[in-house]
Formats: sequence, C-alpha cells, structure tokens
Amino acid sequence: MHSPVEQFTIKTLFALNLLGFDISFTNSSLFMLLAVVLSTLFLVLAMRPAALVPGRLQGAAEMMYEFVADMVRANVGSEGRPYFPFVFTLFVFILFSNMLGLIPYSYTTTSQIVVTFVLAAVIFIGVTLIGLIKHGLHFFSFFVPSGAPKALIPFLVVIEVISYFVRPVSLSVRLFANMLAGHTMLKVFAGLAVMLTGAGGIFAVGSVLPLAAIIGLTGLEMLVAALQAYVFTILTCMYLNDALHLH
Amino acid sequence: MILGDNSNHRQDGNSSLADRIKQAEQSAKGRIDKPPAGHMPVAGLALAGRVALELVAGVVVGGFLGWMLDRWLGTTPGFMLGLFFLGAAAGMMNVWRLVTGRNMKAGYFEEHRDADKDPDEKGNR
Repeated sequence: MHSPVEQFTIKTLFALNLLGFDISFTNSSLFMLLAVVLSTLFLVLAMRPAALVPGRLQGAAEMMYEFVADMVRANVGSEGRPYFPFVFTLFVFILFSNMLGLIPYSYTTTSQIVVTFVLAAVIFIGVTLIGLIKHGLHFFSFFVPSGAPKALIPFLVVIEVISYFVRPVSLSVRLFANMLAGHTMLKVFAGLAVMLTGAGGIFAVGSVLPLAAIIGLTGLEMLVAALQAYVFTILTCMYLNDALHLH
Repeated sequence: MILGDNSNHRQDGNSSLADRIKQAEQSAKGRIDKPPAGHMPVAGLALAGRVALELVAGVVVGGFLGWMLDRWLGTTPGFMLGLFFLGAAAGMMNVWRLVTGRNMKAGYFEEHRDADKDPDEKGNR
C-alpha cells in the first residue's frame, strides 16, 4: 500500500553537481520543463494561423491573453504594461504546472514549498526594487500610516513591516497548501477504493463510492488549479500596483 | 381618424426605439470605458481562501522575525514575544483590509484618499 504523500517524493533523474551544490535534474525539474515546453508549444501553435476569426485553439490562447491583460489593466493601470509579459508568463506557468499535476503518474511541481516560495520571493524582491527605483527613499513612507496618532506610529510601523513580509509567505503557502491538500485528498480516496476492493464481497461493491468521490474531486481540483493560478497572478498585480502607486 | 391613430402609433414606436438605442449605447459605453476586471466567476471562493491564511501568516512571520532578532541580539525571548503579538495584529489588519476592499495596501487609506482616486479603481478587485 502506498502512502498518500508518497507522490510528493523528489526523485533524482540525472545526478548533477556544480561546485559542490546538488543541482540534479529531478522529477520536479522535469515537470517544470514540461510546463514551459507545453505552454510555449500551445501558444505558438495556437497563434500560428493568426486568423482574424480565431479557431478553437487560437480562441483559447487569445482568451488567456485577454484575461491576464484585463487583470493587469484593471489592477495596475497603464503603468503596468511593461510588466505584462512577466505576469502573463507567471500565470501560464502556474496554470500549466497545476494542470499537468492532475494527470495520473505525473508530478505537481507547485506542491513543493521551495518552488512556490522562490516564485513568491522573486516577485517580492522585484516589486520592492521597482518601488525603490521609482520612488527612491520615499518608498519607505509606505510603512508609515497616514493620519495615525503620533504615539501609535512606532507600533504601526512595526505592524506594517510585518504585514509587508507576510506577503511572500502567504503568497507561496497558499498555492503550495492548496496543491498539497488536494493531491493528498485524491490519493486518500484512491487508497480507500483499493483497500475496499481488496477486502472483497460486499466491500468491493462499496468501492464504487470512493471512486465516484475521486471523479468529483478531480473536477474540484481542476477548479482549484485554475483558481490558484488566478489568485497568485492577481496578487502579483496588486503588489505591483502598490509599488508603482504609493499612497 | 384611423390614419391619424396609425401615424401617432408609429411616432410612438419610433421614439421608443430611439430611446432604446440611446439606452443601449449608454450602457455599452459604460462597459467599454470600464475594462472588465479579469474576474473569475468564483472570485468569492478565492477571497474566502485568503482570509484564514492571512491570519495565520501574520503570527508566523511576526514570531519568526522576532526569533531571528533574538538570536542576533541575544535577547531571547523579548522580541519574539513582542513581535508575535504585533504579527497577530498585522494578520488581523490584513484581513480587515481584504474584506473592506482595501486589499493589501500598506498604510491606512483615509477616506479623503479614497475620494481622489477615480471611482473605477475602487470597485475592481
């Protein structure tokens, strides 16, 4: 019997070593690479006809583009335009990673906190640098609440700083926890179905129930996969907006 | 008599059509001026998932920052205790900002600040 968390094990495919650092190519790296390759292929092939009246594939690609473009326009405004390529890449990468993970025997890279935290850290550091470059030292006024009583300001500044550092944590934990929990739940139900079948007789008939639950849960997981990609992207837009337009 | 009625009726029909065209144009104009916010139909679900995590993350990050400061300055457990509670406050504040539509904007958004923003910006989230 396999444990429901065994699916998250990292397996080394090619051992690699760079200056004493273990940079082996793992199953996680493989699926990250697959997400990049498949999303690139999808977008390039879908847009190849470049028809005025899009076909199905082109329609899907254009919908994805417009969805993110509208999100950037609505949340950041026209100053967000230079950052659109990054935001779009981020959305597509997370969406493909999440969706690929739903295919049986595949691996969900976004179920690793390291992967999501690095994504969130890049955004956090990038957004902070953008804020510092755009506004210089005035950026730190971000942490001083306006219109607060003077005596409270030291506490409020500390609270603001903490709440700023919460950003990368909540951003990465949200994606990672959703993926981890969903996939574990699927495997728990799958394990139940296998055990019931093994028990035989009336129990084997009952194994239909967890099987039906898996079908429903897979649908739910698809929703979660798309939703978490959306949440990650929209929060990136909001953080970018905060850095571009200080209060 | 009948003819007069008829023309009157046509006149009515025409003006109501003109009105309807005007209305449709106005509502379409509103839609075009305001870009859709890239909303997912399940945006409420996304919001619900964020609230609980914000509460926990504030405490964890506050506690962790305090722990690091204590290790650095050798003041265990002063900073950790203090920042633990301030972190809890930060978590609460983030949730409050989230549910009141202020998002994660740092610093308080005073009402006069809200007023000079264009109204489009407030509604989309």
